[in-house]
Amino acid sequence: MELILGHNQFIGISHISEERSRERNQRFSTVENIYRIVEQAADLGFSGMVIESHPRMIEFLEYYKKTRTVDIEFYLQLPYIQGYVAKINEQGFSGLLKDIIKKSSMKDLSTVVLGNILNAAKMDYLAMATSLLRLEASPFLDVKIKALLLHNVLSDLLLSLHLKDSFCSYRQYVEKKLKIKAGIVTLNFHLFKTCLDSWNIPPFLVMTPINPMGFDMNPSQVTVEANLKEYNGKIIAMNVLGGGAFSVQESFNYLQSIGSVTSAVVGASSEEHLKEIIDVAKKYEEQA
Amino acid sequence: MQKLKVGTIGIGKMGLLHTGIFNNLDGSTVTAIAEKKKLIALGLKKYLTSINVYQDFQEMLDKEDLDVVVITTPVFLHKEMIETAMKKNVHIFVEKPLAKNQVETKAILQQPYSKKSLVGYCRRFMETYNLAKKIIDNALLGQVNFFHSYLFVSQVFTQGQGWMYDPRMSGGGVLIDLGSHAIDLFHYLFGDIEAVKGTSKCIFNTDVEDYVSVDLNLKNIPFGSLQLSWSERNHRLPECKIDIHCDYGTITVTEKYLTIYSEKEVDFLSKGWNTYYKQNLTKNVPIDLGGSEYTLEDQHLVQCITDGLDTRCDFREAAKTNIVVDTIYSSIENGKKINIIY
Repeated sequence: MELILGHNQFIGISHISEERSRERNQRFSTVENIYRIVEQAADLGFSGMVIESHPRMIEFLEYYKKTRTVDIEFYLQLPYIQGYVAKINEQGFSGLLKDIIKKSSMKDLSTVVLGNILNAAKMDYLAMATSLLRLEASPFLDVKIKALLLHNVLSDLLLSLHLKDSFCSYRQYVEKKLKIKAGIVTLNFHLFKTCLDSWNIPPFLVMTPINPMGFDMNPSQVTVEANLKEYNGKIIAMNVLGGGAFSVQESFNYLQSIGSVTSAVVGASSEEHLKEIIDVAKKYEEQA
Repeated sequence: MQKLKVGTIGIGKMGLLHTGIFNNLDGSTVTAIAEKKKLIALGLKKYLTSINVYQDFQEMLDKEDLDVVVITTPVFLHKEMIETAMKKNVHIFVEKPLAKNQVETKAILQQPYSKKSLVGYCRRFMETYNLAKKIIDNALLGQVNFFHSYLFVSQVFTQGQGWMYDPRMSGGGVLIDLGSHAIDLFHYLFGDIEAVKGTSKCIFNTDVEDYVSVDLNLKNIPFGSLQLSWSERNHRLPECKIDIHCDYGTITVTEKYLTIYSEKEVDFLSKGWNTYYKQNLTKNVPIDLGGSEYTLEDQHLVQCITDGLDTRCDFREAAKTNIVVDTIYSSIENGKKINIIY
């Protein structure tokens, strides 16, 4: 089983409680503390890590590039939806645009602007939107990116509106222009698979919730289990421990029962927790 | 059975979310959208080929044969749109708050209308709060004696830009925007409110309040309190935490968890501490776009229309929150406790 370190805890996200969110936020407010966990995870056998363009993760990335005592492959989740929503709430759409422009390098900005003149004339909003991914991906392009993952808030919205073309444009841009494998995060695996099948689109790498309680396995655990067995693309399990609501043992027990899952994203905030995860995962690998 | 035909007015983030949900429920499909901004309307028209897109909501209501209208525009537009939709005799979902103030809500309630309405107070569809309601309604811990609560989010740390920070358009600041969720939740969990006394402070905004503190007396509970702010640091998501003190124990409830301390074993509660997480309580939904509560809310409206049931928060119920919000504003202005007149 490929183990991928989740990043939510590093940016103060906990699905258990806001108290825990604040505790994590404080603990990982220095990048050295994030790096220490990433280093321990890599030493113990985690091969990858999820990252996004949250300011703290950008800071961590710069530290990683300078320090680099371990090699790790990144799964880059874009766009940074929460940051965008927060900016829109406070400063409106114009505030968001100003912010994106301010954070982008002149080179990337001019590439995107020039590339989009024709798209704007053709009113090709999809091409314009996908090319904005380049601005966000730019700080990550000199480390090993195993795949780009389209955030579930966006991918699920596109699925709900049955926007087939957006998935084609996204894959084409990411794989042809950015030369990175294109992946999708979804909380709606059944809808995702049904859409891909009916659109005749080859499977994407997909990251989706898989856990013993069936939390976020929509529309039902039974349906998603059946879909997972039939899916031909790579599947990465997420929400495996339900943010700490489920035990490591029962979660891996369940993952093993879903034969088609070869990778799992798991969050951990301490060496002790990392070791617990590795011990359980190894036990199952030996049994397999 | 034929699906309900839904039309959305206003394609901001909530408009997109509800459009996506109604478009995927078994009992409904989105057939029309009205979006005033030309650039967005053109984009929608180009890509959503099976949905009719309008820039004028009145034109959409005139031309489309809709069963349900979803209104997700800024609050200062609600009254006119609701009244127009009511005249078309369609079922209505409108995002919270129902209107800018009680003058507007009274006008809405005076319209003749017999269809279903639902106002988007989404916490009524979160399982943690519903479990708390079950414990309170069944008096599993005895009577509620008092509660204290807060609703905080990290959102505003500079002068805000746009209609939300202009009281002529928004109706106020954090109290009507975020606080209306808490007031509605009090109605849902505890029942009617009898009197309120509020204080407020502007820190980052000049025209609307950033902090509010309210003392409440309820019909069934002697007293409760609420602290509100959208300028509270280190609250990435809105958190409405209520500590409820009862005869035989306490309940602490948030969006993510529910902790109950019970002095005795009763019904499903063990003696001592009981903790439930959203992950253990939340039902699967047909589609999840940013929170299962929004899907459960939209599914509830479809079911109420189909089965002829009353909705969990219709215009009349949601109007009570506007009355309480206005009374708190009056109390802040004159520095006195004021009785609520529903």
